[in-house]
Amino acid sequence: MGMQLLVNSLYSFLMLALVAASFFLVFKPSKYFHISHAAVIVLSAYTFLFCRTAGLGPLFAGVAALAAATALGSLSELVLYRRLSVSRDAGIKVLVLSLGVYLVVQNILSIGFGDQIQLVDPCNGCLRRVLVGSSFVVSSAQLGNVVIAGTTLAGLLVVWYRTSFGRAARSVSENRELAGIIGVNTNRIILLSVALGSCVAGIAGLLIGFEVGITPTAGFSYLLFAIIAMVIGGNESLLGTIAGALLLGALQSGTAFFIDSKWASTISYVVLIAFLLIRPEGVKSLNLALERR
Amino acid sequence: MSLLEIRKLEAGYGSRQVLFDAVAEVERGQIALIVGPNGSGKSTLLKAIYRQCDFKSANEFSFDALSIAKTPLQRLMRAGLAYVPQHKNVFNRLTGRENLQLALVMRGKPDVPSGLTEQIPEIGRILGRTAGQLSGGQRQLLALTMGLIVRPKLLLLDEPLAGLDERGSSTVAATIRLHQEEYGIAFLIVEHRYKRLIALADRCYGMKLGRTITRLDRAQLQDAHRVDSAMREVFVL
Amino acid sequence: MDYFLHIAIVASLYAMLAMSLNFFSGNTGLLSLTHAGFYGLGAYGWALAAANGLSFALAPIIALAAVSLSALVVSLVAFRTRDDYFVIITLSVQMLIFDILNNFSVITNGPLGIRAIPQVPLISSAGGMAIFAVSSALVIYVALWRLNRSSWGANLRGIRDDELMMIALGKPVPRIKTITFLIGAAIAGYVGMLFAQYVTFIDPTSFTISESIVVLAMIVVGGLGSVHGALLAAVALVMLPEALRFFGIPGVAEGNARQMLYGAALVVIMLLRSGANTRVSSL
Repeated sequence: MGMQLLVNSLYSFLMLALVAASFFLVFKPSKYFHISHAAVIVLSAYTFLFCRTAGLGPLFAGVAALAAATALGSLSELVLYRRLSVSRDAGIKVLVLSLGVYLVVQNILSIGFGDQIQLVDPCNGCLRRVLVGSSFVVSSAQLGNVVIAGTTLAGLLVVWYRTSFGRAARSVSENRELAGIIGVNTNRIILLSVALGSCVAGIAGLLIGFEVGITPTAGFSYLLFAIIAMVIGGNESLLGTIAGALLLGALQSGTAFFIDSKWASTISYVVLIAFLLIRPEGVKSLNLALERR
Repeated sequence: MSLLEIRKLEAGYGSRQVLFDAVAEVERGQIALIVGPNGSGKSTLLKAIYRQCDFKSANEFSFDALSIAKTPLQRLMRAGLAYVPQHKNVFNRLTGRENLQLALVMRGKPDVPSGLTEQIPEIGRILGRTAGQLSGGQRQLLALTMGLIVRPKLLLLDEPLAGLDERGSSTVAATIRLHQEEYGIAFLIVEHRYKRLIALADRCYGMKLGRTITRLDRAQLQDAHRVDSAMREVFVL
Repeated sequence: MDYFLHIAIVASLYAMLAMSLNFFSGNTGLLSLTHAGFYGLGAYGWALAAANGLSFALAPIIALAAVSLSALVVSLVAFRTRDDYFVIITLSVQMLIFDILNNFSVITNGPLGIRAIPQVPLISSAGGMAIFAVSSALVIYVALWRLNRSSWGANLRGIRDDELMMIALGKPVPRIKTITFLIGAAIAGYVGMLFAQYVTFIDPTSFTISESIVVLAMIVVGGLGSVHGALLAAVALVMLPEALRFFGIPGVAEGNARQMLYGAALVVIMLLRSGANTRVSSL
């Protein structure tokens, strides 16, 4: 029994870490809450569905899905949010604007696909096989997702901590003014990071769609989980965010295992609220506002 | 024409004007010092040159024959302008090496030169650790190195000796001298502990309440009395 | 005729939601996304109280008490944060409230919702409800307008502009914020009670985060801090899909398309109105 819980926690952790990392990439360099990120996550899954029903192959559908996700995130940043970034109170303005963008995209998806939960199937049922281990059970979808999520996360860590882009992005995240003084093209770095984060969100959306399915409004809770993981993890580094996802994953799996899965998300929101109550410094909202200039 | 030529510069932050009549002339490969009490606008002058505050007007305001007010920062940087601010001048979460790589890559130059540890002895210990773990003096040295390593034509330094002890200050002074001689880098240094750097300076400006009120050249700087009386004029109300 | 009554009712309900959200968020600049949650708590509060036999005198008191109590708890938590983190925390409270309504099946009947909600006889007919809703909206409009123009409103705007200064001046800032927040939430709860009686069947899907965003969109479009703006924007945005329907664009009036329209309105207004120097509170 313990083994099943461990396996569930590991799965939750990886999926949450993927979503959280994707949001971190979008949020940290820009310092803006792209709420539309919630739409980016589900858009990829729906794009995949659309392509499949149109008769296109799974590979093409996958690429199209990621492209759509990346496009939505990047275009929102480039065309919309950037326009507000030079004004006062830019943080709140971008947040409100992103709420509007989310509302538009989510409802387009609802109109186009309906609100019922839909599974994404890339290979005619291959994901629904049940694999039995020594004392636990997983589905082939979960296994596949673990591999993909794990690989993506590993790749992200390499990019963030070992490449010159990652170095530049980390510098912009820490001190945008100094980064500009050094010669970093901060706007370009932010856009690239948003694009990368949106692409990873697209991957996450597909994986979620493969395993439990998606609805147009599902993105929002995942977005909030990402924020929770980030806050628990200290709101500073990518590694910290992934660590926060570990804790959150264990919490959610534990709740699902011992109580009921429907309460897993509720407990997560309570944790966020508790965190902001007990450790409001862990969030440093005012500092962020000053940093943005 | 001088490398940096500034006459009657007016600048500030938004509606708050800080500089009313700032002057600076720096020749290639020369070290110029700016001295003055708090609020005199010396830091703002550096910021104005690096386009970090709002320009109002000037009779002359150019770097390497480029009009600073009309040229974008990236272009000025490519022309050889560099700046080390006084505070928050390193990335605490990156290692020393990463900080330097960042300064270099953005200038399109290759990785950290191997000769670095000979030129700046202390730097070896700094490379591997994150900047946040360093002592204040080490962080200052790292910040300075980030400016030097790109071999600019003109390096703007804001209080490079702040928080340093005797030894640290001499190291910085020696490093500045070395880079001037070896690479022909010109410096414009704001430092109110001027006594340490007077020996290096080819020129020294005194600022007060947003105006440049004195200028002493090499010959005059040798005369301690001259220097003292000029400084008194600058610092005393 | 029924159609026009329906429009009048919906417009009045949204107007009250918008004006009450504007009273707190519009005036202080602290944008709250919990409004649909309080609206839902009011609806469920009435539905459960009335369905369990509480008299029509007691039920609204219980419902409003529940809403106010939740609002009080929320304010204790949320007021520790500011700017965008304030929005995020109200966002999670909204999700939390929705989750409770959706999952606590024992009490709320979960996703299945509550049927056959008792109505106060006076407003059980469409006509009666319409008159009551419109009058309520007018009363609230006048009340909030007067409050806005009084020293209370001035204090709120002072808090928006420079909270520290207000504290330094000795104003009881936490108390002002809390009471304002509670008033806004209570009105939302009241709207919920009316809504529950109008539709006689409620489920959690009427009280989602999207609904909160819609109300926020209304006050942004109407101009933060302006009571008239909130009222006019709410009425205009309710009418717009209906008008489009008459001009031959069908289907815009229904749920998703309507929300999409509000989202688009929000995007457009945000892009148009934010000059480099407009603070969010003067949008």
